[in-house]
Amino acid sequence: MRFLIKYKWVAIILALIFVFIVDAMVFNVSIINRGVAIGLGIDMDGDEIELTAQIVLPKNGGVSSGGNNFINYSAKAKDMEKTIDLISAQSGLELSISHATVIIIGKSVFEKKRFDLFDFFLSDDKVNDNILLVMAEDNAKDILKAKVPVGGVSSYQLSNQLRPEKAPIGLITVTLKDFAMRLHTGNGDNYLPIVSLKPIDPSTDQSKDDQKEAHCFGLNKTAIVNKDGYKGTLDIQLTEGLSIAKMTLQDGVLQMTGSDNRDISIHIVNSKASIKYDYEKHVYKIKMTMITSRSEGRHESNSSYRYDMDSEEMEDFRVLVTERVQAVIDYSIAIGVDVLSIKEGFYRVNPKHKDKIMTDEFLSSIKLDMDIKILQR
Amino acid sequence: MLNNNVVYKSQFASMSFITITTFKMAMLPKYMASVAGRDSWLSVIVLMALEIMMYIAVYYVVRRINFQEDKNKLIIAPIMILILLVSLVRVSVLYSEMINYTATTLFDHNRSNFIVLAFAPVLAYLVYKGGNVLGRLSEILLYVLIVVLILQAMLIRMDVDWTNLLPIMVDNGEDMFSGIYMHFMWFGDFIPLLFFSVVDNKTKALNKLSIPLALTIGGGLVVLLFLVFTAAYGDAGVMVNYAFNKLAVFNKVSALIGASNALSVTTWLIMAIMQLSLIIYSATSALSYFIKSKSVAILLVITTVSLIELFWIQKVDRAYVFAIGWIKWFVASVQYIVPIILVVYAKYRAKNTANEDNKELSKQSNNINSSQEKSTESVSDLTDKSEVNA
Repeated sequence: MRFLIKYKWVAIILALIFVFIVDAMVFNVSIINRGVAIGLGIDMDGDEIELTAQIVLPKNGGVSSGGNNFINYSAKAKDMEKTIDLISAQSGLELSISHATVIIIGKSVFEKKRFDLFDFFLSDDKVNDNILLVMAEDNAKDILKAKVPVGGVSSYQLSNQLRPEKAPIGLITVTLKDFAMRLHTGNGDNYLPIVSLKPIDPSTDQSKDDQKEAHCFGLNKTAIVNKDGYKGTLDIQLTEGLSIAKMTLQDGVLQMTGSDNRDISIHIVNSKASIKYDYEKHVYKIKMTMITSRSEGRHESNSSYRYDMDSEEMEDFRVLVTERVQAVIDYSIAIGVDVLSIKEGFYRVNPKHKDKIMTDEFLSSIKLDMDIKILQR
Repeated sequence: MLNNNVVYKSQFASMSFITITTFKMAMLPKYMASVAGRDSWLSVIVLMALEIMMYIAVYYVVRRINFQEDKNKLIIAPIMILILLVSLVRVSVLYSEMINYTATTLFDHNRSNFIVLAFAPVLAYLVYKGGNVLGRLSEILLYVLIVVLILQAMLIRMDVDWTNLLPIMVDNGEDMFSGIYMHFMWFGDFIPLLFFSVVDNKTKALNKLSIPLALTIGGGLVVLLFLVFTAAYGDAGVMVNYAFNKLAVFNKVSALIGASNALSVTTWLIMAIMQLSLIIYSATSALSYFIKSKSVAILLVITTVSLIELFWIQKVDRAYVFAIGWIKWFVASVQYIVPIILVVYAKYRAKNTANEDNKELSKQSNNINSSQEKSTESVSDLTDKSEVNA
């Protein structure tokens, strides 16, 4: 050892050579030989998993130089590891999923109850758990194939839509972490946004003149699943109710009829909420503070324009919000899935009564009590 | 100039911070979740309290005796053997975590054998450089770590559901206690610090604050990580391999730059190398007590550890099965009892030294008295003689 210290530069050079040899021996794949996936789609074909990966083909200057091309590769196999291997073989590139921003799940995955796939991604050290999850109304592959209008690519367009600066009412954003957390709790009652394709006019971008068609993504419905598979869909209004109840609201507009029988829009600027569970009275209490501003659809010259709701409108607004949340609870009872995790919430503060709480009857007996404080901007 | 194992208080605090945090933030949250479920944060609070008590004992010892250079073979030799064995066991388990992390996160093909070969010379070199180099490196690393933690705290954006921490001890604490006794291997980290001697810093503030701050922030960070991990993942925590790595991606810039955990990955890897170096340092120091040649001891320990990883442990799952087997009782006994024995020994040594000092002092005073008497006698003799002469 002393000899090595005495000739430290010789030792350092030898160590460097050793490092390069070891690096070469582990067959570490260079960045230029990697297929960086930015989005993944998973469908089921019978018992086989069909994985579609949207891969970046970097132009000169690398991925960060922009203006890249993208290509979709698909492969089918019985397990996920094998599909990844097959895509690597097809593309001649080592498939790297650490930069994927979104995973689109085909409806068939839930129909086949392949929940193990989520655990595969969660336990993969290279996958970021903040990756977004959406369910395709039909096939995940079709969503990845979609031509988006503004010179982009479907994965990026979808993740931009799912992660705006402020989450508006009716937009449910679900990450792999959130989904997995609910999946491993109780009966695995869960939800995730549904993405649908809507045809629109192609881009006016001259470099895309050959584009004959374009699509945009609709994200205003929500899929309800649990360990028994796909259970139902929340429509636009129910999805709005879910986003109110989940307290994730940062922006959004609710429409209602004003005190003078005119259509008005209430802009929710921000909202905060807390939940209490009263086991004795079977009351699920949401205490909510909303900052709002009012606007009118039609502006008539003989009427005075108001930014604030009057007391009657405020009461109507409270009723509207309560009805939206109540509708979600009613739907939960109807399909037997505790979408708002009400039973789990009661159990956590009253663990001794687990047997009584974890029943469908208990959920049916719950009364919603919403205490809404409105602050007008 | 400090001796090889003599470090300043601030360096000792830095090493304490690294040892109290590093491997508790990697695979342990997952392991703990699989046994203690949502009570894992309670298990960790209890274990951290034990950890602090152990630290007090270790600190008492290192301030009073230089354990490595003590000549009392009857007491020290058996302790050295126990420390050598425990260090080898612990390093086998923890090293496999670091190898697995490097293999699965930084490489593609999970080829751990070459990673073992790559880490071996690094660890051997650090250990050879000695205790105060480890102390200085830990201190430098701490500044980097502070910057990383501040950045992470500024950028964090995560949805956590704090109700995931409930219900507490639903099975009368059975899960919590299982979580405690199954995971002793990841605690009792301060044994390597017994091989250091601590001297005061020149700055008063560092002297007073460095150790309490390191323990409070380090212990607090571990408990906070378990709280956040349980709140973020709930029962799905059992699927998450490296907690610190997975939690680090939830930040404001991940949407812009994709995987954004490079800072935490690099820092953890350096911290892990530091902690393993410390454990191997304790193993080689214990072995050097018997074979005297430090270089031979390092080569023996590194070779043994590498062979264990290459041919026996091989996979991190096997390391876990080994760690939660009967061996955990041996490790826990040694880790928690050795510091107590050494505290008693340090007290005995202090008392003995005081007695010896007293004896020495009385001897010296007797000598002085007798020499004074002699000198008085000789003076009186001289006076007599002078009188006669006169």
